[in-house]
Amino acid sequence: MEEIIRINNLTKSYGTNTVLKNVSFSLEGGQIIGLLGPNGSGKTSLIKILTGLINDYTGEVLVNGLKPGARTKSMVAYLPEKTYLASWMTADDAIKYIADFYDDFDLPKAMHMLDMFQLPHKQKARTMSKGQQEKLQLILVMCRNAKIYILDEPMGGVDPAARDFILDSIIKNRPEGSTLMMSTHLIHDIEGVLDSIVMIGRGRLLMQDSVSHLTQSGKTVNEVFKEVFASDWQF
Amino acid sequence: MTGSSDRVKGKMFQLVKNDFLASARVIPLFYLIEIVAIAAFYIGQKMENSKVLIIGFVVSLVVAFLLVFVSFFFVVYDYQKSLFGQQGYLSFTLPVNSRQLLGSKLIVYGFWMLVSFADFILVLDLLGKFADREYGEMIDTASGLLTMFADFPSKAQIIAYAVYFIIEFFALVLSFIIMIYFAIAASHMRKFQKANIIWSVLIFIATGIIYVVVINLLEKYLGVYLVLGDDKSFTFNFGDPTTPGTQLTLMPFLFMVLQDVAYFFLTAHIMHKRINIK
Repeated sequence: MEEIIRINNLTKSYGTNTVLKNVSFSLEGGQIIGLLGPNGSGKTSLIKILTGLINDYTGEVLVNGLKPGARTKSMVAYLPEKTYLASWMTADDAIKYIADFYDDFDLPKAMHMLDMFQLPHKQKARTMSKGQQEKLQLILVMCRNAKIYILDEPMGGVDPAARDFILDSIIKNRPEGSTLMMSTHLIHDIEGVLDSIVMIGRGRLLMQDSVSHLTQSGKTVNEVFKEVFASDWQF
Repeated sequence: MTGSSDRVKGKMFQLVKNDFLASARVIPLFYLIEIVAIAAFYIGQKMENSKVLIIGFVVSLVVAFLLVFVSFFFVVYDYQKSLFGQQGYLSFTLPVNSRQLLGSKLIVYGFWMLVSFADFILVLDLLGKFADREYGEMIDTASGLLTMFADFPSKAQIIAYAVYFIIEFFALVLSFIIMIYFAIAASHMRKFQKANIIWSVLIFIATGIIYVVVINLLEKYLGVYLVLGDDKSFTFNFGDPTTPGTQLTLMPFLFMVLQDVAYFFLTAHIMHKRINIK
């Protein structure tokens, strides 16, 4: 498999606060990757760098061999933690807007998923419930035939009952051969679908491994996570 | 690579289209009200119904005035909300660069600002002509402005002057918008983020002061004038404002264009490098 993400000595600071310290790793394409770490570990900053939202950093970041920019944005489908829909947009408007910019967007599939998720076509995003807005944003991301999917806490604000449904939708709608990176601290919910993991704590890379190798000892990813971060918090 | 690059370039049209559609949800409503008010004004004239006429007169004037402010409000509101609010997560991850994002806003809101000014002048002209005809009131109308060209020796000079005036006005409007955009973008940098509204106002005032000071210095020490001669000739005059003939000062305009280009790239750079959407 080709290398899809390469990061060398990445450091990112906000003023005097360094959130990523000399992070280096590379990832092969076609996998489902868990970007794991507790809140405030630097996951979102790393994701923002990969998606081209943050550009003032030191070190090298390559997405499919390119520095994050307009060209990589056309290959990356990104689901942020926040609700980003414009207040004037209805579900139909949002779908047409995304379809206009991304050549890989599957418009009929999006319309079908809208019905499947029982979301009203003509309702303005601002009047939708948080859950409805999250479902709509998930449709906008998963109806792209992107090379890379980056989802920041896709189940963060979702109740436990809906998590399986969300995860199932993500996995089912991911095109074959694409790379899916999900950041979360809810490891138990996603560990069954992961191929490999990247663990970040206090801005440092703490572990990068395949799930099959990691679980050879009989431990679950969740247990390894607890071990890694228990020791991380000791100093 | 070339194909991918072309697709990215091609998204500028989509940006302008979608920015225009977003802005066109509110602003055209005001123009619709204005059309109805002007229609009422004409109907009132025809039917000699003074109530309808006065309502049409007042509403069209008020709406024309309001439109300038509404357009200005949207210049600020849309830029702030769609790029620096949570919607920034959508805007900044579109397959376009920050120059394209900024350029699209300038095109769309430059258009609305210019249309609002043109509309204001036309409505004033329309109402001014009516007041002049009916009541003999002297109001500066657009046609009245033409009397200032009475002393010009040739039609070519009038056209040259009008072109100069229109281009300068266009550049001034764009300059005004890009200075606002620069101030808003700079105020979202980390240093200013906590009190970004206050900072955006202060930065805008500072850019205005710099503009006025530089323009005055340039006019005083580095005057370049386009001289419209009496024999239809056009010459350049460097630093002597007393040369006979109609003189159009060029340095403020040139500075404005250079300043606009500088602010454009600086603002795009800030948007690309210095902003972290919260």
